[in-house]
Amino acid sequence: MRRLHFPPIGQALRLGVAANGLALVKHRRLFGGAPLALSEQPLDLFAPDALALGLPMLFSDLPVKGWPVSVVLADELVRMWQVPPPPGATRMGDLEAAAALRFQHLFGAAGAEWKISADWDAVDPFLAAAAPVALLDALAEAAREHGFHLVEISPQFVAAMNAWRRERRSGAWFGLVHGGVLSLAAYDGRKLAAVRSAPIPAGADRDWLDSHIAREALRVGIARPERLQLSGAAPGAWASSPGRLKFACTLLEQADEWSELARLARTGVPA
Amino acid sequence: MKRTRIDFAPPGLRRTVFRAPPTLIYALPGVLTLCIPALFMTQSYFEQQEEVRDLQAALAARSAPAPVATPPAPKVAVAPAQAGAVNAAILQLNLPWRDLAAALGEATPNTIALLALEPDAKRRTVRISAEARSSDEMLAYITRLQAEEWFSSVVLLRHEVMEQDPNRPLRFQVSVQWEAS
Repeated sequence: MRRLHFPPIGQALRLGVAANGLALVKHRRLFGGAPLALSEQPLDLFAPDALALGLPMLFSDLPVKGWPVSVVLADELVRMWQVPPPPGATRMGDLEAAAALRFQHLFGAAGAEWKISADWDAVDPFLAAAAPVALLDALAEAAREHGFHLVEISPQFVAAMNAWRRERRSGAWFGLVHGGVLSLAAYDGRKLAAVRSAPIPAGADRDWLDSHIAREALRVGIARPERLQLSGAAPGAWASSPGRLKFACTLLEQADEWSELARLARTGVPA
Repeated sequence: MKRTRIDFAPPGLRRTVFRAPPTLIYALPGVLTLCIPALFMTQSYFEQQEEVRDLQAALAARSAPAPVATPPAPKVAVAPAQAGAVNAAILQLNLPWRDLAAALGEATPNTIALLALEPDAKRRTVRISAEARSSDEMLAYITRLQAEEWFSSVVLLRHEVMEQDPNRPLRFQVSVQWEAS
């Protein structure tokens, strides 16, 4: 196990938080370099004091005091949805109210137990996400206890969108494959139309992907995309092949030996 | 595509610094290089400001009216005799000529001919030489002088009948002292 010392300039830690465990990855923000998996800690996140007990074991050999830490929340821990801005919205409060109303309508959960953050936009539909307040409080408490700085807490899907934003093409759908789940951001032109997730059946091939994309386009009510860009551990057979191009599919990442938890923590490291 | 800004981390300075593009650090040497001449220029600017303030202060001091320096009065040694003469002259100059002439004018009738007035400022006296036709007129004149409030004392010094004159007038001298004002 590597021992960390005083945080060097230009380096940061990424903490992956999933329902079944934690993972820690170090990466360089300057001068490039591949990310490095430091440790993993399997646990049941929904058990009482799971983070308070799991993080000390994750950091057992790693003095993380003073380090900047970005937290990547697994998509099963958060809620994500698309919010059309209300017509004539003039204040931030209008957008916040629209996001809260749509959250309650879609998920039926009480707003007090969730914290909503969104890519606020007064003109075009925007992406919103909600994370459990209890989980965020536990992370803040852990940061105080271990002395690290919480510089970012984002859902894995958002982290992936931002990591690949330079490669993403306007009008193309974006997807993330992680833990046997395909999450999709469907775009109608440049506008976000919907965010949807679906489990990937065993043995799913390119035909399944074609039909799945067609179904999702019909459900959202938009045209099928000309291009789909997938990040994460997507099967290599999903990549576009000549002669059967209903839409082009670009795999942004290649399969590697990283575990699911480490891959979660790594999500968001710029390619 | 633009960044999707969804972040649940509490706001803070570390988060703001972390969000800044890491490539900004490549601009750090350039910024520092620019800071060095900026530092010198700033120092030069403050020195010039100080110089301007000094010049303005000097200009203001030059354009202001020079203070009137009163040279000390030269100490001149004055001899006692000279001082007495000067004081006597001042007293003479300070004679109340106007009051004296008015008082004499009121007291002197047409029958009395004033011949001479010899004032003595130091003693506040005036010696009056006059002629009258008779001793009665002379006495009446002296009485009128005594009645004047301005005179404190009237003394007849001498009198004589001028035998050489065909009219035989009575010439007399009176010393009159006036009150100090």
